[in-house]
Amino acid sequence: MINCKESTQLTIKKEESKLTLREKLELSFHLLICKYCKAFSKQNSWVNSMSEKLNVQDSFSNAEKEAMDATLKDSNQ
Amino acid sequence: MSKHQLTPENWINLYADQLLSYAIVRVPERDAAKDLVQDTFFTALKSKDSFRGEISEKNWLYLILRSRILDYYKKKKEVLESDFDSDDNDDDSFDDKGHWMDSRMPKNWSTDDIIQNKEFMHTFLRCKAALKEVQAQVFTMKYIDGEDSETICKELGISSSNYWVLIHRAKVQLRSCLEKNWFDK
Repeated sequence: MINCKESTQLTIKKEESKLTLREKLELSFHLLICKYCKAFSKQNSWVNSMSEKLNVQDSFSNAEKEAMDATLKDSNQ
Repeated sequence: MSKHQLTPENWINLYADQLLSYAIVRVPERDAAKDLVQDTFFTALKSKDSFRGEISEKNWLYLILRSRILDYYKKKKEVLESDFDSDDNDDDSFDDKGHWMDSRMPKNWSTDDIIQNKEFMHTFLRCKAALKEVQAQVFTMKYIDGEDSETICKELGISSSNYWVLIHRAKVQLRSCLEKNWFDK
């Protein structure tokens, strides 16, 4: 029988299909009886898909851009 | 097919913000992200003679930025090594028997309509930045850049067993941080 720590480790390893048959069975069994690890597994997949879509728009200030532009032009002489 | 040209005089205007947005989700501090972008432009300028026009100027700049980010990770190697030492003893998510600690037990999340939520994206980045640096790095390479574990181990010079410990710790911590700072609020 595996514990919750091991179940979450296997949940993550499973993403790269690195589980043995025994590990797969033990994980499936654990997830049937543990609602916390079941929630972890679901949230883990969601975090993965979220990470791929992670998109944050950021920008330099105009002063920063002007300074960079000036230095760049200097070194391009 | 015509070859792509470089126009350094337009770089800042055209690409500075795009490159910064790319870097900001990959390194923990905004200042570091800015430095990396600036560094990218200077590296590009210095190596402009090696540009053969086979890819667009934009993609070329992205390639340089990606390699600057990887260099940045590698420079953190001392930090990485000190992180490994303490890594086995700071698990506050599970008890000695490997059961969830009460405060860390996953609750149900309501994830509808979050994908477009900018506030959530910032919470996500803050939680990622709150991880130990080495954990944040492996997480970024794996889940944001989509590299496989072998590549990451090779690039960062870590063993496979270290990798699995780090990525497990990163995800357990990140989950808990998101729950506390977003889903529980």
